[in-house]
Amino acid sequence: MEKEKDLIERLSNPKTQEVAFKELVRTYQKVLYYHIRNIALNHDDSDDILQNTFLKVFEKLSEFNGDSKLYSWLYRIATNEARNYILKKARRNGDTYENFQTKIAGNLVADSYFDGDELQLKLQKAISLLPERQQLIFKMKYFEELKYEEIADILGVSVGGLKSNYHLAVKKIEEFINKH
Amino acid sequence: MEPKITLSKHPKIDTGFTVPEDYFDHFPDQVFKKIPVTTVKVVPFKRNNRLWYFVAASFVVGLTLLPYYWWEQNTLQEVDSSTIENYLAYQAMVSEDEIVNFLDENDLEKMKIDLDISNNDLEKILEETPNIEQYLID
Repeated sequence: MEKEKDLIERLSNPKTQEVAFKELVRTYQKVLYYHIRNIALNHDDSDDILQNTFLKVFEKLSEFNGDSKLYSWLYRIATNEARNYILKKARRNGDTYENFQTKIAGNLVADSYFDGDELQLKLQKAISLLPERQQLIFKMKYFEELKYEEIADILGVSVGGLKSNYHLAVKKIEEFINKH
Repeated sequence: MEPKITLSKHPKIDTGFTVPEDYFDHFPDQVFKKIPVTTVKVVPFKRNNRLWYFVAASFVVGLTLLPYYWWEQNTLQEVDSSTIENYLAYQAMVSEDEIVNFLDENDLEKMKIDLDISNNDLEKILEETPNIEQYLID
């Protein structure tokens, strides 16, 4: 907490901002990458989105007033960047978000940066069939192991709503995996 | 028959995602390259000091000379006495008698009319003048 507070202070100071920002990138690049990757599924898109995310973070540094935790703010920007990127791609293909995600999940087997087994592939396909919001909640809870309170803070939803969405998602995924 | 999978009981199933080698080592530099660099151009004061002094001095001198220049352009040039006399003589409203009233000793000196008038000629002129008595009174 103190470390984050110190980083925020240095990010707010124009004299120390550049060095602090470099530290921010190095500290959060991995966790934000995998968050983005869970949404975008392929590496190249995730790389683009991650860069865009940090550029946006830099652009909006002056707007961060410390009301929320730093990582919540970063996650929020990353989530929006990823979602908008995928939505744009889906629309260009004349697809809905979910249909597009299902297609990408189906192509994972040919992706050079996916070395998962059959079960992992089935899981990704099952997730891609969920509604967009449920997909995100499941991934953040199951893959990224975030607490409900953290997810609620990032997505701006209630913990109760998150729990019911997660349990519904789990049920649908188990049905799909056990059927296919 | 395969056992049914219950996610809460099953060992966590990983995503299966991989990244290029050394991706995270190089990623920060990719971002830093794209950050707009705002550098404030520092102009050493000393280097341009002389130039600014010259500009300021020119401005002050210009401001000082401008009214003088304007005044000089607009000052009436001294017109010679003959020109004034002739001008006035052509004005219908002003008689030659009235012109004489505007002339002082200096003006008469300047005119330097070189006339050789004898006393007899002078007497004759005076006799021919109708209002001689009035002139004597004036």
